[in-house]
Amino acid sequence: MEALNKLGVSKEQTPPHILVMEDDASLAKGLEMVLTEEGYDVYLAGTGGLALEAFKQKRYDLLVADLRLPDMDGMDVIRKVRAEKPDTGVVVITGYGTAARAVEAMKTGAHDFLPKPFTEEQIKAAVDDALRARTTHKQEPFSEVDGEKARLIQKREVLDVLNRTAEDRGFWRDLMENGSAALEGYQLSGRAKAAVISGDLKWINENVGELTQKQLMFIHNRLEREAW
Amino acid sequence: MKELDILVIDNEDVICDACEMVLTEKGHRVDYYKTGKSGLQAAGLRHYDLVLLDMKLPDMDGMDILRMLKEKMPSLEVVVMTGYSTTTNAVQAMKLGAVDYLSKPFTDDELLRAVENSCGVK
Amino acid sequence: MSSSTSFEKYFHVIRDIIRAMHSLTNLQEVLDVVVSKSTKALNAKGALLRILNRETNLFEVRATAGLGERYLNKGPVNTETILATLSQPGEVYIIKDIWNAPRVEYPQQAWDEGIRMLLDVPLAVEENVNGILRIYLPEQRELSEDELDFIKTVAMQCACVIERVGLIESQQSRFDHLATQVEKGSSLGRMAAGIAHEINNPLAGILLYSSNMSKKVPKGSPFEDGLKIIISETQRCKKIIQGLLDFARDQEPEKFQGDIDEIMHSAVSIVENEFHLRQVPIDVRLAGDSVKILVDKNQIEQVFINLLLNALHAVGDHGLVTVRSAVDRTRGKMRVDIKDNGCGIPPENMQKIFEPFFSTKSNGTGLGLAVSYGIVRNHNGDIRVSSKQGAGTCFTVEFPIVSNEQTPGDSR
Repeated sequence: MEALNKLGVSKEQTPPHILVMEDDASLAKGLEMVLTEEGYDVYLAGTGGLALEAFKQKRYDLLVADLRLPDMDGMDVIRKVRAEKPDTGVVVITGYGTAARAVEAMKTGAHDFLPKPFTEEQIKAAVDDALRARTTHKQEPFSEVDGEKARLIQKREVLDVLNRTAEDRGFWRDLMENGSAALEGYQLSGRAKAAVISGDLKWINENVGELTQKQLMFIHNRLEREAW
Repeated sequence: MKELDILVIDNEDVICDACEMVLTEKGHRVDYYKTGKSGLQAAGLRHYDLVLLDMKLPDMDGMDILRMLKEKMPSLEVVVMTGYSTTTNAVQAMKLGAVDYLSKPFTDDELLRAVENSCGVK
Repeated sequence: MSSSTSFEKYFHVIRDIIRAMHSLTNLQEVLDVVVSKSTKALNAKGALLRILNRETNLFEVRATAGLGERYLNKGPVNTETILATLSQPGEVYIIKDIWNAPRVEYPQQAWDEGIRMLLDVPLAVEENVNGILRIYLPEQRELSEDELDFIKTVAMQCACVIERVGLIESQQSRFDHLATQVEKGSSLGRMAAGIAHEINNPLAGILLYSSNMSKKVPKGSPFEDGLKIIISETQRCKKIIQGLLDFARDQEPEKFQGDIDEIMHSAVSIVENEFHLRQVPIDVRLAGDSVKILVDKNQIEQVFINLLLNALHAVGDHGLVTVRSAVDRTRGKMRVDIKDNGCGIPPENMQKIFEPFFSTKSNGTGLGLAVSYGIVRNHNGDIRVSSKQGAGTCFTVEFPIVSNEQTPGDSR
């Protein structure tokens, strides 16, 4: 919990989500244990394919990536993630550390590069640093540009959520039953979350825009329920 | 192609001469200095687009020079060159703000690629 | 003197000698006690203790009691004279006629000192004489059984101490020598960085100029090939230096409980592609026993990859590489065999294959087996090779199994 406090994350806010992309099962478990103890939410993916899938489903604050994976080069996964979700931090772990790979990883935007074997202290420090670098980035002073950016992010997030409800039955149910708990991984303000959960079409139209049929499905369903 | 102003800081004559030859043939302008202090001074006095910095200089630690360059002139790109490359050094240099890291020995193409990519020149 | 009091007296002397012996760092103390107390106990004029210097082969004076300066200034006695007549360790040589005895070198001086009789007592452990105790008596007399017994006992004890101290000193010097070697070895690691830098700079100059020149020569120029070779050889130097640096860097393994079979599976999956490309089948049959070994997974994986690739490169068209693992519970070891049916290793190379820079490949660094050897030894393991020319080679790696008494560590 100490690490979270350093990040300025209070207990009410969601703990950072970390995806560990590592094919060595015992190392993955070890990392899960160490990072969960630090207060983070840790998810595991044993292949590049699974990791990319995971990024489509959920928002992650940090990717801990092994470069050697059974199905693809970890570096390619990192590149894709950095391109599509640029505010995801990356820490590379690898058994085959060469200076050239390290430089390549840093150029794609990795925050750190740890050759294996590394100690518990080293991985914790690297993860903490990488997350802190992100939050300082996020806590930039408010400005016109930021306001617009925040609005766009929010819009995108709401649409992401609504799209997902149409595709993911489990997520729909989760959202219906558990409300804002289901929206933990998303960068949404309390107001936005409330709007989605309660089916506040007015707020959504004002702040997000027109919705497609698919996106409306959840909202309509929600409103029907209300009527009951 | 844009012509760049390049500053080379390396105490080996052969490296300075070779780099100057390769880079000037491509139309870039090159100045070189053999010590950290003189290199830092030059960087502050004239405009450069890129610094090619060796990590083992006789008077100062390469990492310190890199740090100072990035602090004083954050928009000045630095490419690190080194005869003893390790993952640790590479990561540290990148974290300090180096835009690329070349392990000696490197070919003329490798040098040009690093220089031109670093300044967004294609 | 009654026999009981003399026995007591002898006992006390021996006890004092033994007490002095317990402080092993001070041999001199023991020697001084021996000479002074035996002089007293035998009512002698004095005593002289010499220790054999194995390097110079001379008996050197190390302790004296009761003798004048003049006598002492005589040099060490030549071994030949003494040992020629010392046939029985455990015996006491009684010299009554000091003028004619061959082992008395300076009879005149002895007589002038008041010496009339000598006892030579060899100090020996088993058959090895390491010193001589000479007792100088002021009068010619018969020695009692007790006296002789006493002096023999003292001699025996003294000889043991001298032997033990000698052993410790030689171990110490061997240790110091070894420590210096180790120091030199580790400072090689520190020097490696400097060496790398020293060599890589001139290489950088060569590579920059040659790569630049190779673009300037017209196609078909006689310089083209030569320049290409210069470029590729320089890049090869770069690889060699990098390999050497990796070798010199003292990689302390981080060992956790691991499964050798798992590590082998991982190594095989990494090299599988290579095997596939060359159409060489790899037959893997592992013990499946899941015994725990204390290993640094990455390093052992590196060893297996090295051996698998060596096997792959050794076989030709009808090549086959076989991998087996087995647990030997009686010896408490887990063993892995990597066999190939390649051309085998010529007998003259068998001794050298684990040496750094030994390679039969033109593009090899020759460090793979040397590094593997080091890693396996660091794991308290063993790596062996057996080979038959024309038939094939088998590398065997063995590791000690973690016994149940040891605390299990995390598997990472």
